[in-house]
Amino acid sequence: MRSVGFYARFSGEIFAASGIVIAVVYLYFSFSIKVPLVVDFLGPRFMPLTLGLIFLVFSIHLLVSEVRRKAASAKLVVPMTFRTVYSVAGSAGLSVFYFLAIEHIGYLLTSLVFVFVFLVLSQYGGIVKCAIYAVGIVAIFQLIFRLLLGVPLPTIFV
Amino acid sequence: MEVLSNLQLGFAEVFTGYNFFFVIMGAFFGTWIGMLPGIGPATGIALLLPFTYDMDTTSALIMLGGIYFGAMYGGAISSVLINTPGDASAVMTAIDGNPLARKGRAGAALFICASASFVGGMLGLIGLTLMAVPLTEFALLFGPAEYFMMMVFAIVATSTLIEGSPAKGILSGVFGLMISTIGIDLQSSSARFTFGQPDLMDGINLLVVIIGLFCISEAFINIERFTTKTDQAPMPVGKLWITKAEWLRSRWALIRGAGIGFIVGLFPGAGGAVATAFAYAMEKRISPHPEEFGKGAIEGIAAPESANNASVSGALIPMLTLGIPGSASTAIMLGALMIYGIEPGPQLFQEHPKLVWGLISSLFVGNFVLLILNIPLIGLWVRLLKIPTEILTVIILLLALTGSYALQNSLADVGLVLVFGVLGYAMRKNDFPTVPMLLGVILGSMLEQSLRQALMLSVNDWTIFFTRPLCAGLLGLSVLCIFGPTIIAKLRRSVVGDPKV
Repeated sequence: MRSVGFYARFSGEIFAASGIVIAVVYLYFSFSIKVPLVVDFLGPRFMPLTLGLIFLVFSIHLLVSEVRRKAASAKLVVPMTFRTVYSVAGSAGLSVFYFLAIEHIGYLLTSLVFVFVFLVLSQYGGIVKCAIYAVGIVAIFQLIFRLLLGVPLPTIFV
Repeated sequence: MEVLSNLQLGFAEVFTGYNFFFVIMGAFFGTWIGMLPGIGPATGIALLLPFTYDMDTTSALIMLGGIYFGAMYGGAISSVLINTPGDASAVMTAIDGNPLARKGRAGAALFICASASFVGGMLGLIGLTLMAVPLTEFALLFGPAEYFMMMVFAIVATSTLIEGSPAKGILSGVFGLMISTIGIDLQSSSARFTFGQPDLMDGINLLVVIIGLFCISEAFINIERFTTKTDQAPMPVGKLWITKAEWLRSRWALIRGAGIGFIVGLFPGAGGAVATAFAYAMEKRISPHPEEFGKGAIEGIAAPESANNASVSGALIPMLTLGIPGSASTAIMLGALMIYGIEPGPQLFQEHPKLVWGLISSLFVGNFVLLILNIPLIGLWVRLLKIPTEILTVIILLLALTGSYALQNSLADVGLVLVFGVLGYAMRKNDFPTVPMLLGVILGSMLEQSLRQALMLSVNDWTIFFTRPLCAGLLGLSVLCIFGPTIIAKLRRSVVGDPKV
């Protein structure tokens, strides 16, 4: 199995560097918070600025220690396989589809497609088995959320 | 006597209306959830939280308490039968539980698990009952400065005591605090990080963070698990009994485990995983048969299981008396209280005695229910363990997505849940703990409010945080949590010598 080498090798540094970017962006927007004319010492900017600075300091510390750690040992993190990345990314993509489609084609149809495709992609069984399970699971959810809890789930029919 | 009248009030609440039914439901679903590999008590509570949204607050909290306790019992079942702990706190049970099951004595292992959970749970609950009121009275003496420092300590301790790098823990906690700043600032009415979006004006819904961080990320982790499939069939259970000799060997381990679990549970961030590891290590050290540990020693199952359930009561003490959660599950329960519109803190016992004592009493009742449920229903649990991970994962995902929509009938919440889910997954893959982040989100606004109140009362005098004895003590403990591990490691290196040399 091929491994996702680059990310496995640098995931720690990438994450720490993302922290620095987040801290800088957060600090930038903290400065743009509108301050009322009359304000005591602790205005609305105080907390965000303090937190942004702490976050920045610890992100830099983490980046430095990650680089040092890698330099000190040649041992690599257990690599993730392409199948793992593909499966997780596929599921995340499917969840995004769910979020985007539910408003347009309704809860029932979106959920059916979601469960069916998920089971097919995870190689749970044949098409018919996956379809039967999808119908069963969605039917139970409909029963619980629409009938028992009375949640007005989005529907294709107005 | 006050304790007895409080418990009487609580028991009356448990047997009012449908509450007893919710105790049974919580215990049953909690055991099931805790037993399923990959779904710990925190995920279980988070998944079922949307269902309690329209329930009476006391009933909802009673059910969540039942799930929490039940999940602690349940974790042991998968540890023993398939050597796959439901969550981190059940890992130690697998070390001796599974080898005993391999010897054809799974029933005996499960019996001692159930007994140890019961003893640990009961002793922990007695501790909780006795300590809750005095601690609450002490906490009522706290001013805003003490509260601020207490919250800082809780976040720092959770960030640094939890497994992994302290820097990562602190980053996670601070990130949670940063998220809590989104929305309208209550004091100045300034919009912070809302970018003109009306959905963000009230801040980010706590439940959205909980579901994303704990349920969606858990589902993604499960997906990884079944792509590298190592499923194991549950072992045959056999006789559900232990010998008299085994009982004599394990009786003190049960008591010691409960004591350790309860004390460790009191500390924010330490939780069941640390308590069980500590109890197991101690038992092995003092045992006259240390060579049997790891091969099915009965004390090796009894001590961690007892510690695990006693830690639940320990973790509930800071949550109920101070409004500071000690574990992921209590953090979610605290979040639930806030969602139901109840302000946590020492006033909770005075303002909502029925709720608090109802919860404590329901845990006593739940503990008995679990003992009764666990042993006869073991055949059912074994069958439920056979549910394929694929089906389980798609159910978690659909439940999380539908549940987040049901909160406010808003698709924006579904989108945010996905964002937090992906974030939680990325954090876990990079060994960033998610509990400090949740704690930051929960305590963020209270922390800012306490800081402002403290400075207002002291007329902007920052020395208030150093000169008041309790504040100074908590500040010292926070600093110790951050720098203590590094100092200890350096001292050890200077005494023992550098291992690399």
